[in-house]
Amino acid sequence: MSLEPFNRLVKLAARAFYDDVTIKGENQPKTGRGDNRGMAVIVLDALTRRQWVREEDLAKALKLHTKQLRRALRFFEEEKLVTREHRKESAKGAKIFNAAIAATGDSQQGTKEGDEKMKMHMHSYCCLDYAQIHDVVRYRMHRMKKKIKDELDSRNTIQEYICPNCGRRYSAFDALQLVSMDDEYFHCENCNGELVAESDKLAAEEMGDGDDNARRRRREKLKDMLQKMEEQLKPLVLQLARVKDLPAPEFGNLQAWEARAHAAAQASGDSNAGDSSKNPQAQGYSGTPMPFLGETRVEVALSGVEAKEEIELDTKPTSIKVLPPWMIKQGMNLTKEQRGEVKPDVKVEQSSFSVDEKKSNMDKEDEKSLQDEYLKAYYAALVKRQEEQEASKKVPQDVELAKNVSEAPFERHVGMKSKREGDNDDVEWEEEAPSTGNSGQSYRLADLNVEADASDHDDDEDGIDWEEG
Amino acid sequence: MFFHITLERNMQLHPRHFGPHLRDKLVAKLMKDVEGTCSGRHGFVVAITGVEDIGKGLIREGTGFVTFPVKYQAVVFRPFKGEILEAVVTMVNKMGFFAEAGPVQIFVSNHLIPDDMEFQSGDMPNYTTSDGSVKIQKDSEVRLKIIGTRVDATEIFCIGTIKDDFLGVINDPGAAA
Amino acid sequence: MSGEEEENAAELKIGEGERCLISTFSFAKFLKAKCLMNCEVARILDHKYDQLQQTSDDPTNQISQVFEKSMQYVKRFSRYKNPDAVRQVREVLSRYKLAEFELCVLGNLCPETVEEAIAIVPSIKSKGRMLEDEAIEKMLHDLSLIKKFE
Repeated sequence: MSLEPFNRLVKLAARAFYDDVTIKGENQPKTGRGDNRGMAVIVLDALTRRQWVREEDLAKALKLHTKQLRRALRFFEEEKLVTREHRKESAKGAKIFNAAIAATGDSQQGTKEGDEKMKMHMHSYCCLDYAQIHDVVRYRMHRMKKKIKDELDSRNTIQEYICPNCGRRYSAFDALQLVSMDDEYFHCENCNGELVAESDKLAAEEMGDGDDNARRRRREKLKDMLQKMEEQLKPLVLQLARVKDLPAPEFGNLQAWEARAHAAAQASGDSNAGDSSKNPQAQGYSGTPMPFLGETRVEVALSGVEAKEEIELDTKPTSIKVLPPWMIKQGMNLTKEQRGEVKPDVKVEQSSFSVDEKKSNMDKEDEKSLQDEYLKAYYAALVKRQEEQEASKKVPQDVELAKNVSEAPFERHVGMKSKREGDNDDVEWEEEAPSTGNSGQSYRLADLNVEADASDHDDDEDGIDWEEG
Repeated sequence: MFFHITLERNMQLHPRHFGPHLRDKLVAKLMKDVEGTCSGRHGFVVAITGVEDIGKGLIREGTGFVTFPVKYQAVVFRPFKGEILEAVVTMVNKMGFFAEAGPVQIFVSNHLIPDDMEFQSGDMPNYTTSDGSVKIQKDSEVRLKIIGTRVDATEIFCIGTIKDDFLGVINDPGAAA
Repeated sequence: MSGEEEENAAELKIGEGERCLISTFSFAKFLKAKCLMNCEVARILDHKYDQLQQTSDDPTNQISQVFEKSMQYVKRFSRYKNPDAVRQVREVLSRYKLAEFELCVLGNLCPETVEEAIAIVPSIKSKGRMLEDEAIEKMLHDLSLIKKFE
């Protein structure tokens, strides 16, 4: 029994359905600053590495503003992916949670003191609801498929009609008002134009053809869409199948979870706690909760190239870098090699050095070709996506449908997707050891704390009174 | 589908009706007010079949009218999405056909008519299969499935389909009266 | 979430068709409601019409369009005319643990084959109903007998 298959499900679903979601407040203009698409995925990923987590802590770890994160979490709550709990906490309450965290060996002690100073404060916690996620994803896929299949079968679809003159739209429910006694068509109430059934019109527009074959073409298009969907969502389907008979991870509500964590901590003793954190996977799921699986490190590998670069640098740590002249300043204690003044002195080694140089050039070329390749793939994907978007613009009737489908699979081209998955395994999910950068981190946390507190006062979007007792 | 349900209504009665026939007056008024109406919630009220209970009247201040809470039973007709029922075709045109099932009107658009039936215009517009064996025209009896209902406060309109197994023109001659 | 969505959601969870109707009922007062077959409605409306004729000189005056259309409809689509037959249909169908709605759809449409019965009332074949094909077959047979001896 492990979290892994379910976490993978969450990650796949996040990329399939929430990759393109922009999380914005209602009062913010749609075209407002900051495109935060992708944030949804990052937040979900972060949650797969935690159990219950205080939302402020999560915000700090992700370096997001609490407000922003809350908006995202509220969205996920509505999407039924996340459960949240809000409670007024005294310092004692905060302590319990911190103790639970500490019990599982996390290094969040820095925030503890700050919390003790606050008296009564509303805190929100969140946690993935794996069982529900499983259902929600299955339901969503079912609906997507059903929607297309229904239209394919022409079953259960309410026909829509458009007036070609004035663009006014009607549905079959308006049929009674639209019938004309003079001829066999529906007429626009507005301009008396002859209405066209939308599915026929669409099909005709798409293919630039008369309405004879229109319906058949539309069917073909739908079939194509269905096929694409099946193909592109296959990893998700497979993961669903894998997870199907596994018991979903269940953390219980916040209080129960804390109690369990506390009990576990007392059982294992404090000295043990540190050890257990080093091996969170082994501790796993069997009764002992571990709220934090290591430090939050969201590494967004934007391209495979960057990752590659890092690795290359790592593999030859012994070679000393030649600093560019503009970086060299007076008073720097540099070796001659670093200054790049090595050549005249070491003539004997000239040949071998040039080999090195060549080698590094080759490396660079490799890198460059890789980069080029990536760029090519990226632009190809971009062009394809633009085309698809334009195509979907032509299908206004299917906005919802297209949204359902295009949100995920349309911009995901099979090649790209597999690439990303590869990355996932190597880079993205790498968990940092909890000890790294501890001091720096806590300093930063303390710093952000101030900001977060301040923001709490005016954040009433949750519908909760964020008052202090 | 027809249902037999119990409904409640507050009836206001003018003082001039008070007397030995108060109950009859109330019931008559109830029938006049309620029968034949349509509400989105309960559907069409076809007929009141009985009055279960008339509560104590309450004099409305200032008017002299008295409000009686009345509990009554009625036959109502309420179509539901997914329901399969029989209907009579009332009009056929190129866009599809209209049918009637009791008080409710149903529209079947041409894309919910089987693909092998084609529209034939003329004096008696109809949808016919290529071999002419099946024909839908005015007064035909069809079995259809309701796939959508538009329920307003005072009106119900349905969208139906005959594009499924066991739907379409009713062949059984014994079926109709 | 709109009402439309809820209907769909129910339909998805329990299976196609009529089951979703039952769940919709609960919103209204339909939970306690009794469904009526067309032939039963015909009898009720007939009775009511007779009453009106006795009490009023001009019954057509009192009759709503809804009443008239319903009356025409149920007369046209009643499978059973004889009052005894109408009673028997309900009796026979009641033996098969059907929901009210299912019972009335079957009584109204009188399917001839098991396949047809399942197509028009998919819920009779849904999980956990224990209604085997043979049982459905027998039920349809019983129905056809009533018709025959009417």
